Amino acid sequence: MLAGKHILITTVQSDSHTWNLIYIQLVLEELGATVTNLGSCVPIEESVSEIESCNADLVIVSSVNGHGYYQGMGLIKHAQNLLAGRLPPFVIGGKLSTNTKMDVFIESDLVSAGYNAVFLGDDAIASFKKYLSSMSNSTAAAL
Amino acid sequence: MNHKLGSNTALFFRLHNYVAEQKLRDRTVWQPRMGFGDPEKMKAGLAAVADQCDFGRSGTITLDAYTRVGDFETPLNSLRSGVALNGYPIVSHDMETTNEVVSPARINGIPVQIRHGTSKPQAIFARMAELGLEATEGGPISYCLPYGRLPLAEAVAAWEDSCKLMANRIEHGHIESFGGCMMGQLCAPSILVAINIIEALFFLQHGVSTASLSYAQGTSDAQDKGAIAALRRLAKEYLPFGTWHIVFYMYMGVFPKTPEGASRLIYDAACLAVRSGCERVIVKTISEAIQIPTIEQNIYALKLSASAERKYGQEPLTDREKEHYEEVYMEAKSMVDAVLNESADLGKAIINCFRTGVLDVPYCLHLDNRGQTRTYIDGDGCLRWADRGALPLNRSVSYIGRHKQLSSSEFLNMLDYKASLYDLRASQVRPDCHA
Repeated sequence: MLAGKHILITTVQSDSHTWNLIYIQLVLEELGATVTNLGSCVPIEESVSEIESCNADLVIVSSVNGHGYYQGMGLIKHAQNLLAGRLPPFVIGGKLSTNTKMDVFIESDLVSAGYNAVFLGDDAIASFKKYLSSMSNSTAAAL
Repeated sequence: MNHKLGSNTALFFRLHNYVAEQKLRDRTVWQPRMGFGDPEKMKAGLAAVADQCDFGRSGTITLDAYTRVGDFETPLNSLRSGVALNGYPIVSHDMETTNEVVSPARINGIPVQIRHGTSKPQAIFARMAELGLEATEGGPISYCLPYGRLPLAEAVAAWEDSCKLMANRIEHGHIESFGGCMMGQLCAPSILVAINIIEALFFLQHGVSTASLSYAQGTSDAQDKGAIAALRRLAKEYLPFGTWHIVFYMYMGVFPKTPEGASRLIYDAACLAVRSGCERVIVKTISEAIQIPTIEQNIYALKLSASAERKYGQEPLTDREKEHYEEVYMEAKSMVDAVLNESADLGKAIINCFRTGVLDVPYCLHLDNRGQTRTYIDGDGCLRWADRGALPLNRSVSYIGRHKQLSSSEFLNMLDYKASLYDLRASQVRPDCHA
């Protein structure tokens, strides 16, 4: 499982939704992870400084207000500039644009920008959970 | 028409007085949540509400997202370039325009309430004073904790300023506490009730004339009816006579996806509000979850809701509702007393009590909220404490629930509880469905 892992949950600066963030926290805690949840409307600078101060093993960006695509791009670019080689795995998911037709290129754009995984659409939660279990498997294998 | 400062208030009913007058006639006041950036459309919306003479109703001007965060320039630029706003920018539009917008309400003698969502509302209150509009909503807790990251102490200071501004510049100023809607759903009734009483006391302490106390529909009619009775009793005990009324909010959480399920929930919520004796009701629309509702959709929802008054009146509590009433009353009273004992300065008391966990809103991630409390929905559909954190509750008297570990899948089901119940009902044939 994810025992011993410190996972940071954050969102983009314009998004005031929090039920998604709480749900993800519950999922991670069930798997044994230690969670820091930054809540709504997180300024980019705060997301990035928290990555360092909590020494995060994984950063999860969750957003449902439709601005996650653009602002999520800004977030990872800022993190890369400041943290360079010390960047932990970054994933993003939720409703990231106002038009689901954009999902096709959103995913590849975000991956090119540096995200390790993007979770969109009806099976977002299922594929997110699969990602977490592959993460805990690889930890087990490394031990 | 004379547009001199304050003189307009004499030309139309003030919200609190209007509600009291309707109550004497055994009428509930039904109110939409309407807001359009275009003045013509906003005026048409208020005119359409004003035209509904068969029931008590209040007009609403909901403000746009830019105004909420203090940006008064972008709204007019957006409108000029043909981009619609999600509300009316009352600070940006000039006085003459807004006086014209509210004229249908003034001519028909119905009140207009300004609804916003701003943790620092000074500029909005100042504009209301200039326009002679007296009624709004919010509060230092309820407009801060659920949204954004403004520290609670800053919100408290901003609301102290705003209340004083209202006291000095607006005759018969009225603020509705948004405390009944904390987080929109899954909040235990007792803390909603307590926050309302605390915010209303805060408004009155800073010179505001009257207040309303809000209660958002939860997951069980019996629990809601008990909780509203508890809110009324506490209001009688803590607030001066004649200074308050209760406003009921139709379900604020995840809404049914089917139009049938949504209509049914709106009608049932209206019945519950009438049976509980609520003086005013904020009415939802079928399409709310998908888009900004049209004027027609708002009027349909108002008519559907008001039809509940033909079937129901205020009812006494059943035995089961009485149990909820007593539980909510005891819990909320413990929280209110703990806040009042903390400091005579209510603003300071609020800040301290959130720090120590005497007040702790479940599932609220704001940094000034402890975040130790959790709720769950029990087998009867009632909201219970799963974890009460450091709330000052007497376990032996009022604690019916148990400490409970909440799983992520239970949590998802809870968020969707009401919506799936009504969508399921909509798919079944029920003879009383169009009562």
